[in-house]
Order: sequence, then C-alpha cells, then structure tokens
Amino acid sequence: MRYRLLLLFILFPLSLISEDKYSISGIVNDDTSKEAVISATVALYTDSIINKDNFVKGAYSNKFGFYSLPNITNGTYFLAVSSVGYKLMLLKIIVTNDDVRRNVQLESTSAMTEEVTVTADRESSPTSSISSISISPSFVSKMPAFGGEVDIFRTLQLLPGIAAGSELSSGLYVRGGSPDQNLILLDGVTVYNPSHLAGFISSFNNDAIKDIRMIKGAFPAEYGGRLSSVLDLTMKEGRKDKLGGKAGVSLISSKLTLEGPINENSSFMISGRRFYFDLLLGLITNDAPTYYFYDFNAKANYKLSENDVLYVSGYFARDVFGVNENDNDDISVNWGNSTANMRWMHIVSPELFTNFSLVYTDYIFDSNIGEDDVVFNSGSRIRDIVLKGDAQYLAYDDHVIKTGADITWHNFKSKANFNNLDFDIGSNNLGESIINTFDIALYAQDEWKVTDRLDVNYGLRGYYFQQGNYLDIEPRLSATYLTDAGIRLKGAFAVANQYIHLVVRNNISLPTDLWFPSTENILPSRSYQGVLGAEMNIIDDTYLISLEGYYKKMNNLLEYRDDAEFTLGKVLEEQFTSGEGRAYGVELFLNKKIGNVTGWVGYTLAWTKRQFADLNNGKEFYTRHDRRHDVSLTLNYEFNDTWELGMAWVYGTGQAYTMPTSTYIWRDDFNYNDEKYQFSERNGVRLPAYHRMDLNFMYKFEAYKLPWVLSINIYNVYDRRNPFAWYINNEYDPNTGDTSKKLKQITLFPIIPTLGLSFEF
Amino acid sequence: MKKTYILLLLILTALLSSCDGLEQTVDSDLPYVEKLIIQGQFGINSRNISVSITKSIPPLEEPTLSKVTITDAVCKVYYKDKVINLIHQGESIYVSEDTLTIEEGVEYRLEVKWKDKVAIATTTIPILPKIISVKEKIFREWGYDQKTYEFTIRSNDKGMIKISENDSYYRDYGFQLIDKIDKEYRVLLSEPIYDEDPANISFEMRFTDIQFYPYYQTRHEGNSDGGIFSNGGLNMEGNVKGDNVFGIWFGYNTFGGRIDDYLDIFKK
Repeated sequence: MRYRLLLLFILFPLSLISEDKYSISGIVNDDTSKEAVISATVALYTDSIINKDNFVKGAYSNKFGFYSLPNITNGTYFLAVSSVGYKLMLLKIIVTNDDVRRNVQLESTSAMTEEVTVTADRESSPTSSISSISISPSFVSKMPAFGGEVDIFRTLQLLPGIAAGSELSSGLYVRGGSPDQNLILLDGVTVYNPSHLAGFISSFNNDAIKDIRMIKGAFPAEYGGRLSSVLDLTMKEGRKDKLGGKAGVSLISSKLTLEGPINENSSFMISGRRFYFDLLLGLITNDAPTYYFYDFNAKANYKLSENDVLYVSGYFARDVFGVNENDNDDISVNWGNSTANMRWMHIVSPELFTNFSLVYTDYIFDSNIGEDDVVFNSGSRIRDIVLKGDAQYLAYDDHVIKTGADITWHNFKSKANFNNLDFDIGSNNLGESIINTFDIALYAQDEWKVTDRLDVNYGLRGYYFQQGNYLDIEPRLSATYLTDAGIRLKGAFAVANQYIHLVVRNNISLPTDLWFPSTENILPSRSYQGVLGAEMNIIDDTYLISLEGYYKKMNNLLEYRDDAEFTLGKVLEEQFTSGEGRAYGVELFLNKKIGNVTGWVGYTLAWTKRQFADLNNGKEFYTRHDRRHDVSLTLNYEFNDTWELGMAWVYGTGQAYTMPTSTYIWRDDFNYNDEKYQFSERNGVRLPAYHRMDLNFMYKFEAYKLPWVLSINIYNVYDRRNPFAWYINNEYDPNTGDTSKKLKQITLFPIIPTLGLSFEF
Repeated sequence: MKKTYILLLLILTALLSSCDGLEQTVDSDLPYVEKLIIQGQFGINSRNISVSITKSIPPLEEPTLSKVTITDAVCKVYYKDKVINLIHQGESIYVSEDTLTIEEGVEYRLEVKWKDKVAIATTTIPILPKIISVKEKIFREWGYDQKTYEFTIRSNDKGMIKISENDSYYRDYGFQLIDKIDKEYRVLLSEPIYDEDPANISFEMRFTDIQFYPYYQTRHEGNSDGGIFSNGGLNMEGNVKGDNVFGIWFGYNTFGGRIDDYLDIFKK
C-alpha cells in the first residue's frame, strides 16, 4: 500500500498533463551578444493583436534565459517576448501534436525612452518582488564614483533599507544587519570578504557583472545560510558574436575586460583590475608602505547540446600590504578570495530544468611581522568545497516548483607561530588550529499563482551543521495580492540561521576580523523577520512607488567581550559574548523607471538595537550604523548624445557614537592621580547629520573609431565637512602658554574631483 | 570643448582650496553627566578606613583636585551592628573617626550621600588560602634563564591573589583569579627572582575580595578620550552601586613569610 501511495505521489504531476497538451519552451538571448536574458517576460496569445482577451498564459525566463509554457493544446499562437532594454518580439508558434522548442533572440533598443535602470518587480513572480531590487550594471557605471572607481556596493548603499557603516566602508548594513549577515553570491558561489582596502571598495568589478539582484530580507527558501539579505551577482558569459571589451583608467586603478567567442559553441569573458596608487606614490617617495589590490574574473561557457551548457567561472582577488622600514624590520600582510565554479545546466525536459555546480572557495589572511631573523606569522583561512544541484519543475500552469540540495565541506584554519625564537613559556599555546566540518542544506519552494490576483511563495529550507550537530528547519512564506486599484499588497515571513559568524573588533572591515563557525558552545545565529508593504506603478507605469515595513529579531549574535584578550594562548571562544538584536523600520521608494531622467528617491525610518549581557551593563544599545532617518536621491539624466549626468545625494542621521560625558581623577597603579573619562552608554551620543552630493559628468566622444567616455566625478560637491569621528584634544596656546581641551572633528573627504576614461571595442 | 576646460579649471580650483580643514574644532559641548566617584580599599591590618570621594566634571574641563573635591558628603561604614562615620580630612579623603579592628569574613557596607546621589557598596575580607607547597621554577624568556617560585594553594574563599616580594612596586599588577573553592591553584611569584638564596627572600600574599576582578580587568580603561584611533570608549567597572555613581570598595587579606620556610623539602 505504501508503494502504491509513493507511485501515486510521483505520477501525480504527470497525470495533470494529458496526452493532447504540449509545452513551448526555449532560451531567450540577446541578439547581438547571444548572452542569456534574465527575467524576460514570455506571454502566449491566440492572436497577433495582443490584449487581455487573447492571453493564454505567461512565464519568465530564469537566470539561464530558459522559459517554459506547459499544457498547451494544438493550435496557432503568438509568443510575445519582452524585457527591459529590448524591443518586443512577437513570434508565430504552431503546436501540432508535439512540444515546441523555440529560442528567442531579443533586439536591444538604444532608445532612451526604453531604458530601465532599476526594477523592483522584475523577477519571475510577484512574490519575489518583496524586498527585492535589481539594478543594472550600466546604471551603476553611471553613478558617481569615488576616485572614479565604479562600485556596486556604494550604489546599493543608496537604496532604502541599506546603510553605510561609515564613509570609509562599502559594507552593506541591510535592515539593521551587519555585513556578514549578507549572503553574497557570485555566480552562486559564496564570497566571504567582498571588499578591498579595508572595506573601502567592494571587490567586484562592475564591468564583469551582468546582473545584480538584492533581496533585503525575508528571502525565499532557495537562499540560506545568512540572517539578513542576499546579493546575487551574475557574471557576464562573454559575447558570442565577436571579440570585444572595455578598458578604463581612473585615478586609483585601471581595468580591462575582454569577451568573445571561442568557437560557435563557446565564449569567454575575462576581466582584471589593478589598484596602482602605490606605483604613483612610489614616484614621490620610497618610504611609503606598499599597498595595492587586484582582482580577476573569468568565465567561459560551452554549449554541449541544445539542452546542455557547461560554465566554468573563477574569481581571484588579493590585497597586499607591506612595510620595509629598513633591512631588518618587515611587515607583510595579504588577504583575498579565490573562487572556482563549474556549473552544468541541463534541460531534462520542457518541464524540468536543472543545474549542478561544483564550487571551490578559498579565503586567506596571512601576516608576517619580523625583526632580524625572528618572524611572527599569523593568519586564518577558510576553504569550502560545495556540491550543489537545483531543479525547476514547470509542469503546472500555476506553480513553479524549485528544489535543491547542497553539501559544503568547510576547512577553518588559524595559526600563530614564531620561527627562530627560543621561547619556552606558553609555547604549547602556539601553533595551528584546524576545524573541519560540513553542512547540508535542502530546500523546496512553490511559487503558486492562487488566483489572478493572489500569488504565494511558500517553502522550507532544512540545514544540518556537523560542528555542534545542529539540525534546523526554516519556514519561508510570502504573498502578494493585487487590488482593483492596481496596488499590490505584499507580506512575507522568514526564519534564517547562520552557522558561520564574522566577529569584528570595530566597524572598519579589516581582514583580521575573524570568521568563526558555530560550535557546541557557540550557537547558530537565528533571525525571524516579517515584511508588510504595498507597491504600485503610477503615471503610465513610469514610476514605481513602494512602501515596506519590516521587523527583524536576531538571536545568538556574536561580539567580542569588552575585556577580550588577544594574547597567545587565550581560548578564542572565551573571548566572545552572545546577544540579541532587533531592527525595525519603514522604507519608502519612489523609482522613475523610464525616460531620459531615471533614478529614485528613497527614505528609511529605522531603529537598530543590540543587547548583550556582557556589554553596556546588559542594557540595550543602538548600533553604530543605526540611522533614524536615511534619505537618498539618485538621478541619471541624458542631456544629449554627448553629455550625461549621474547624481547622488544622501542624508543620514548622525552616527551613534561612544563619547566621554565627564572626566574625573583616579588614583592609578602607581598611586598617582590620573585623569580618567567616564563614557556615555555604548553609542549613546550622536554625531551631527551626514549629507553629501556627488556628481558624475559623462562626456561621450569618438576617437580611433571607438566610443570613449570621459567621466568627471566630483565627490562631495558642496564640500560638506561630514563628521567621521570626534575626539578630545589637548591644545597648547603659544600666546598664553596654557593647554586646554578642545572637541575636534575629523572629516575624511572634502570635495574630490577625479577623472576617468574608458572605451569599448 | 571650451566648456569642458572651464569645468576642469573649476574642479581643480575647488580641489586645491579644500585640502585643509579636515580636522576642525567643534563649537559644541558634549553631553555632561555628573557622577559621584568613590575609591576605597582596606586591608586586614588597617586601623582606619579611608575613602576618596570626588565628583566628575564636564569632559572638556581639566580635572584638578580643587575642582573635583567634595567636602560635604556624608560617609558611613556599617559592619556587624556598628556604624562608623568617615570625616573629611583634606583633599578628597574621608577617614574613619575611630580606630577599628578589621576582621576577615565580616561584611563592610559603605554608604555615601551627596546631593541627590547615594552610593552603596559592600565588601568582605576573604579568608586566606592555605599554602600547600612552594617550588623553585626556572623558565626561559627571550633567551635568558629566569628563576621564580611557584606556590600551590587551596582556598575556601573566592578572590584574587597576588604573591610578591615584599618590596613589590606595582600595586595593581600580577593578580590571579581564584574563582573555584577547595581547588588547588598554582600561583607564580609575580616577578622573577635574582637572589640565589631563598633564605633571603620574603614574600607577601595579598588576597582580595573577588569583586576586585572586574575592576582589575578594566582598570586601564577610560585613559583616553575614546577617539576612533584609540582603544577607548569603555569605562572601568566598579562595585559601587547607585544612580550616577562610580567607584570601587573592597577589602583584602594579607600574609607574609619567607620562601625558605615553605620551599619543597627536596629543594632545601
């Protein structure tokens, strides 16, 4: 009986497909580059005159460009395929007793009126628009950039709900979460440390990226392993029509991207970037420390058959820092990520789409500090090997079922060693620490079109983490309802666990910040988050207005204790303290999607709090990145064929900061009267508000028969002296001979104009 | 093209004129919270109890004894069924009116009242641990042999212990936490010994109330202004309770002897 039931369960989906029903499926490509077009709208009509009465059914292309329309009866149809930045393509399809495979090539449009830069409702179902925003890399490239260095993360920081930790940091603080709570995926591969220059610049080269999707919270079951958000980046595959590329120079770096066909079935893309400020500095002085970074992206694909494509991609980034003060003293620190991914896309049938990946990631931090022949070597390393498979089942009219599994082997290594040193006491505390563990994740989700107005996405994600033997189930649910007035009401709830934690010593992202796995003593972090909102397109779909409220509760967050000791031999786990976090707020987003002026206005009203028994006397406190009000305005304006302007303006409530609130005299260890400060509660003082405007003038011209763009970036146009930090300084007055205390403010960046030049070929 | 040159010129001018003033004086006061500051410790052999009572002043002022001194606080110590008044003796010091005999195992409760602030703290003199053995230890550090003595002790009270030569200069240095009772601990003499003859070496054992521990761990906090480039931003932790008060109040037990009297028999 049990086997009959199982058979019935397996065959039930097939029973829905009666013999005289067939599928129309295929892959949507760009007609020039032949790259897959993600999230193209595919709609089937019974007539070439497209209207609601003729509509049969619709679908969206997935990340590989694949679409499928199941359960089609014999007949003549018209397939309308469209996507942002492309002309509508209408194809006649005749279904006669067989499935139809129809690949579609979309013609890109250069008309300004068709350009869409940011979309909040682009993905494959209305439910996936909840807290989700996609930004085109071309829009990112037009935004003002510090030093002319186009930065995906700094553009994402302009979105409501995403805050910058400080002016120095490109880290993403999403809805009160910390940067390590973001799942950052590059072609499906987790990147642990996505920044260069101590967090100042993100380590992703915009020229190598095809698609940027940010999910700010309550993400569906297909994503997991982090508490707060998902940033899903897809690398370019490489154009298939001809060899092309892009090169650019800015004040601080140069980059080059090459892409083209290898043969008729394969193509490649390689992209590299090098920070060369050290070379410029070297022209002036030999005494300056050496610092540079570089990163390298590569991807190739090979079409094995109509139903099989093999992708191989890699990413390599390094930061290198060194000081050689004289011939005896040396400091060298280098850190970075390496990833490699081999992915096989296989279309089993029009109803079943699969892809499988074998992934290797390596994050390394290594430092050597030496004097004469004695060198202290310390570092940490995380190596992951991941095997994963995902499937999309498209046999139902009203359901898109996604399921998948992955297993990840983690190798955590930390070390601290002296060499050539006669050092007895505590020497047994030195050496290497290695943790090997693995985790398994399984998920299943159903994007269910319940009615024409109601869409639901429900799913479950299960986790097993070997270290500590943790087994967790995460329910995910989201729903949207379209009202008569065209307002889409939306809501979502999600539980997420995180088994790998980044423990930081301050808010500047440093490579010394430590990734640490959950253990028997360190419980996994867990978040519960809920989202409610509404959105609608207005004024002929030119604008999108969206309002979302969120509440997020986080347990078992890790911080260093106030009295943490970082000496050799101290057990690291004992230096941590765990606590809770709460974040809640409201986000308003007005997005002008179409026209020669595009951009958005974002406003966030938010509260972000933490509470640890061992910090701040156990009282709840605001985090450094807590911003009560956060406003952003972005604009892209194409004056004419020659000039274009990108503009960004931000305003934020001042940073929460810990400052002295009084001073007193204390008898110290030596019985002297010493001056001491009594500080506010943790982050109990607010710095003044932060605001800044950046501009990017783009001058387009032709030289050597190639299109060139000269970018004139002006950072902090009105030279606002924004506070980065306050401190108390004892100042000597040479006139009176007295010293007195002054409250001082440090500003990092005044107005900074820079030039950048790029060309395409 | 002419417009481009003008634009570039403007940008260059702006850049040159903006390079200074990245550090500027802020014409603003920090929020001020006045605190009552208490500092007191006493040993088993004390005949008087003395406490320093001061106040904190706004962070941008220079603290001097004259600015922080409080002369009109009401300060009392309660123990057993007795009350002792502490009288202002000059500068910030308040001293007990009468002499007294400090006893181990007895709770001493401090109460200080000043304006609307009330500070309360209690401490108990812990009972000294028992010395089980003393051994000579040679260790090598930075290429040199050094000698010290390792005491094995067992305690019935929790606390912090320090064993030093009598002439130990550092007051709040070299303490070890004893946080489990009836357990053997090994405690090293807090400094290396250079005298070869144990008959010439005397030691002092100081065993403080365990409330000393949080203060000991954080005693170097609050030294700097907590600016972004310093390790500040944290307060010392004390055991004096009350709204807008901070301070320490603890007692300690002491014992002295000669190393030679306790040295392991095989080493003698």
